[in-house]
Amino acid sequence: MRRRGERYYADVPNRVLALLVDALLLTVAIFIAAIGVSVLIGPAVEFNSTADSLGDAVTLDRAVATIDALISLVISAAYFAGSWVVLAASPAQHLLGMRVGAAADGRPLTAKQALLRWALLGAPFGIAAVLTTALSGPVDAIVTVAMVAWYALLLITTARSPTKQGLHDRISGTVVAKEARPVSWGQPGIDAG
Amino acid sequence: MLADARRVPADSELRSDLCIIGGGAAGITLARALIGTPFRVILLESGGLELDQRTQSLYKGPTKGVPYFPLDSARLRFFGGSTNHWGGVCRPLDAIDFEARDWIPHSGWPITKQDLDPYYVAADEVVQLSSDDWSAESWDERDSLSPLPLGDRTESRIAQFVRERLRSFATNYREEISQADNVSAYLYANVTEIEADDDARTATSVRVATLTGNRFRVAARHFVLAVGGIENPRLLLASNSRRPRGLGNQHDLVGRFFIEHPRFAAAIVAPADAELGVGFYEPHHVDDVEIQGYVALSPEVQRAERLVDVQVFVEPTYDPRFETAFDSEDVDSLRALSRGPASVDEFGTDLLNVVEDLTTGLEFTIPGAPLPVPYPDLVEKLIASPTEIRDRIPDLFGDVAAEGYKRINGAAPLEHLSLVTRLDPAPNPDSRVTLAASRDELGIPRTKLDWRLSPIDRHSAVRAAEIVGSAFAGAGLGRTRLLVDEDQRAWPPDLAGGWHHMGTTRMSDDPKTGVVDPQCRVHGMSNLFVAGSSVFPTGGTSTPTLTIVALTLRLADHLQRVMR
Repeated sequence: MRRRGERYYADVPNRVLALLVDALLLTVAIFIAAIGVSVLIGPAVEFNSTADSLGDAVTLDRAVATIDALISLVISAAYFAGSWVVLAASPAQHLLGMRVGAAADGRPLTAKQALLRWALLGAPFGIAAVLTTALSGPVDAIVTVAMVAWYALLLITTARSPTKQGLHDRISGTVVAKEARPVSWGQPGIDAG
Repeated sequence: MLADARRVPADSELRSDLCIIGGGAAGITLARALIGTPFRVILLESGGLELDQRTQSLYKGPTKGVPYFPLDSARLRFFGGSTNHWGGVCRPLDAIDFEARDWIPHSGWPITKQDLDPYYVAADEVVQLSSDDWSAESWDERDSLSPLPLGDRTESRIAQFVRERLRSFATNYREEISQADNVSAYLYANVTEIEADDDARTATSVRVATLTGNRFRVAARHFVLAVGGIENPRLLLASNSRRPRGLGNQHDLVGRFFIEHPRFAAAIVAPADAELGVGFYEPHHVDDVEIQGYVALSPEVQRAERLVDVQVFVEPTYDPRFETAFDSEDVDSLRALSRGPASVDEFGTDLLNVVEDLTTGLEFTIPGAPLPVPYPDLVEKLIASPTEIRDRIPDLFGDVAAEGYKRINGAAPLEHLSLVTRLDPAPNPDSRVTLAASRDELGIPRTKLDWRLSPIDRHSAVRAAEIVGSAFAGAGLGRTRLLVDEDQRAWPPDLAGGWHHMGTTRMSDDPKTGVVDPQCRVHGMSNLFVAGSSVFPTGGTSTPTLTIVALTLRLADHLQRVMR
């Protein structure tokens, strides 16, 4: 039985929830950055109202889009690796009472550990985005399939691990813990006394 | 029992209480209605269980008059008949369709809608409709899509669709018929002549021939001819051993009054609002029932204007980008998935198509963002000019997204609306089926179809387009341009029939004005009956299958009384 204040290995549902909240926050940050890119460099999407062919009506500037993708990669690295080092948790993990620490002693991650963990957890998505934006054709599909397979592997290894350490945790020597929530009984009950 | 006529001993004579000629909607309905009765029933079907071109070619024949489909493609000649390619659209006739209207020559049934109403309820079950509610108002209360407010000179009507997998009577009822003790259905059995006694008052037997050369007879106490609106008169006319003009043709009426449902675009509406919601007029689902609404002139307007009934389909033509999306393979896959998987392979292919199409929009989302968010430029455009983004949904987000937009929004950007009219043409004695000089493989004269329409038909289409067009303008919904006018000699090039063959053995109290009496018995004959839409004196604008089944169930009741 989990007692108040105790920590336990954060399970997959909590981890996925944290990742989704982080994704939301990160998306907002990247969107703001994309506005900056659009203002400074130019729009990634152009409209041609007089185009005859449907394909010419909306065009994507792949150079600007690739810059967007690279900036997204940098923001993602700063967001995750930075918060793991400084706060010992990403913002969403922090909100959900989770801590990311070194598997050996529970201390906050070093910069090297944090970057390695991000490289395994957050970077594949961004790298795939850069590649699929810059390239097209079959490479696009191969990269997408490889990315999906990688994240499936991380999910499965996390779920199957007794310490909930996915492949990314094991390689970077990290572990994610969650603090048990206090229980407030309305009446003295089974745990009273 | 299902049997093979090719294996019946040659020159033998089979006997039964009732011989049904034809295994289509009418023949199968009649046979089923008599399962479990004390009467021995023989059903003779020309084809087998699948389409074969040699049998189908027995339908070939010349046409003249209003251009028509090749006669061997306008119907199907195998077990289940034309239900094997039926569109499943159902609606009973309306009360006014049965009335004699003095402005429509030869109109009027000898029975009323009330006579048929109980059989319509039973027919709903036979064709496996999920609802017997035909009130547009009632459906409107449950429908998220609404008819347009087109004033009180028009009314809304609805048709229901039978589910696609339930449309073939052969698929639905083959097992039941093959298990029936008192029904023997012979496949590959072509009736070449109905034989009668000396004064041609009683049918005695039918001659049967197979394409393999076997020949035999079927004798019965009663006969029902149920081979469709073109073959019914053909067989009566060709059964001329006793009467040179054919059976039941004392007054030269057999084959006359051929009625089809002419359908053509009579007007185009430029909508005032590009997103005018016309989904009610397209096939759509309400409470799991597929229905389609259409516009019609109210009975009061039909009387006041002295018009034949005109059904007006409001057919949208969407922005070309959306039209392309709606016709795409990916949207076909989406529809297939929503109907339920046909096979694992098809399910996989359809799912891949849909998923791949849904990723179209990812190209226009910021790369690297963990959630799909469109580029700021796109968002800015969406806020500044939402209609421009809307018009580009197929380009930006794919075909499935375009279909989804239409389903959720109930409308998509329109190019224009076509007002497509389907008429209940006035019965015309010169519109007729006759025997051609050429013969088919079995030696039976082929049919010659001369389809004609009347001036009142054109006038009614023009007036209907004008009235509905005025209603659009009056409601501020759009401006109408007529595509037909009274002075045109030719019919519009897009005029086509509905594969509905009616009127050629029309029902009447008087042998001088009809081939069959109100009980569908051939005038002047004691035991020969006709089932199917050839007995319709007028066609209404509803599709005929439901009425064919209702009339057949009524005939089954009558036969049970007279055969006792």
